[in-house]
Amino acid sequence: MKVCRIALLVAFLTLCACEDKREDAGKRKIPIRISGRVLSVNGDPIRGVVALEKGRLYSKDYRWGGWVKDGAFSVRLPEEGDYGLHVYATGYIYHPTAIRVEERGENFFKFTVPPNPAPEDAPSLSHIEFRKDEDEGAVLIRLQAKDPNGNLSHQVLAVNPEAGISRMLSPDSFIFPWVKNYPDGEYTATYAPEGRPFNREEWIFLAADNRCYTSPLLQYPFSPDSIMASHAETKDAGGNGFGDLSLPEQGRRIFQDNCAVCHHPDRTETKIGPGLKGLFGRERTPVEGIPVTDENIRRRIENGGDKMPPYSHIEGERQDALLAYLKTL
Amino acid sequence: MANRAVCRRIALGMIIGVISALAIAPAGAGPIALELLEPRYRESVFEGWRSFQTSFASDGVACIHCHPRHAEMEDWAPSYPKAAVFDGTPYRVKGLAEVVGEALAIHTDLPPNRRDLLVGDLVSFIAWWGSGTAIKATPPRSTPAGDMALLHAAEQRGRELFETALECTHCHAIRKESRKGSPLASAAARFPRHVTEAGMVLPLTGFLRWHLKTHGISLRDEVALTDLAAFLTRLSEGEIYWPGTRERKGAGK
Repeated sequence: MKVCRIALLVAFLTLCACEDKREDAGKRKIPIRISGRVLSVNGDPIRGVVALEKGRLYSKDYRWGGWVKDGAFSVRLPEEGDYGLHVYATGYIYHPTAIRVEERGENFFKFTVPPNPAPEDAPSLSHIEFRKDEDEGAVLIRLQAKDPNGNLSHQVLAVNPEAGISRMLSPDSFIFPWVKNYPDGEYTATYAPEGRPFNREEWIFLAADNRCYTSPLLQYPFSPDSIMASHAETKDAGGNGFGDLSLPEQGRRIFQDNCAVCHHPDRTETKIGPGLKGLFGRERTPVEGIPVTDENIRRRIENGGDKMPPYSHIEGERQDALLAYLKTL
Repeated sequence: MANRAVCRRIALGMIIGVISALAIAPAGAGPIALELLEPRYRESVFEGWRSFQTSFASDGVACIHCHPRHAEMEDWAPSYPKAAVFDGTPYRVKGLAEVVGEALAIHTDLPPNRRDLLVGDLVSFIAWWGSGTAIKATPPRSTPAGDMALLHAAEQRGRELFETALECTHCHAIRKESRKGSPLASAAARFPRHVTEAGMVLPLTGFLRWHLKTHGISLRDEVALTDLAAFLTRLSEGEIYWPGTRERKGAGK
């Protein structure tokens, strides 16, 4: 009887062990590749990097990274699950997205990133150094980060697209988990190459602040002259960018995006605002009754009016293009 | 002669039918024509539009600078409440009004009381851009599992509030075919809207807070209100989103 009980216990323990192994087999991690496109608002392909956090967005567990070249990225991940995906490019605001990656899913993501509207308010990095620990084989990465408005975020990152990794650098001082504005100053991270030769030329450094402004992306030799440009220098990406269109055609697109919801371009009847057909052929504007001149139309666009919101964001060359289009109506 | 008159009447009827159909705007055809909106809601949309394109920050940046294509907002309002997080904000299910408030806190230099004044109209404007599309209570497949779990839990808590804690079922039916009270199967698809009795335009969570108060229940917990909104939005899944209206218009599911 006693022998039977012992045998029963052994059998039960063996069964538990076997079940664990079966569960482990079921949980075997299968590497997955995600890919995507990153374009500017005008449809131009962007050049930059992506960085991925494990788990939910803003988990601060940055581990993987990759290039965005000619508007395309492709990153290998160890397993399916939830990730935080960030897109960075010089002169553009950073774009965060929470994604789910599936083993048998398409795992293709498409983003449009607008340009940084306040480049002078973006953070900056300098004094990037590497120090090898010959005994441990690890590399200490050190840099200086600062933000003109004191609202640097936790995103002081080192991305190695060739190795497919990213790392978050940390400030010297202790930071409580709920702190939003990180201090200016020295940031460090330790990188263990794990058998892969260390190559400083592979690294891209960047920072982002709490208003989503990204620093220029710095690549070796990490000087102001080595900022990573956000568009290809040659037009080998193919296709016509917004800048290749004629001025009136650029203006037509701006009109479609901003004005067409309230104004007819091809008739004089009121939609919400007056129809704009023949606008520059008239003596006076239909609502205010002021002379139709470039200056008055520009002022109307910038300041809006009674029911019309201000469109001061349509400025410079974009405003010129819009006016060129309005003159064709 | 008689045939010509009949043909003219048929043609006129068809023209009127087409114009009416366009005015009603079937799903996915873009926002409702502004002239069809209830007047006070339309005023709120215009104010929100103005705020959307005005900077309230020392760096001169307005919402339009980072969201330059209005059409990208089509999917926003009909997909809330949902799990949302900004850097430094709680990771949980939020309504559109709460997310807009957090965005204003991050991107403007306004004090909280001034930010609060902008939220309602901005929500009206964003909601208008989503009008004519279907309510999407179920997030897309690329949504993280963690977000899905949070939303499901919020909907469950909302249901418990509706059925048990607040006893809304005394006056409100869930299913359209029930005879009890006013059915809520498409209620979430009508907000924000002008609430005559309250004298203002209210988003769904704001309406719930006001409505419960009129019944002697003071529920200020934003999470509980969002849970209730999540449950009601689930009931409206697939309904055409038609903010600014009281009655259901256009094609349904």
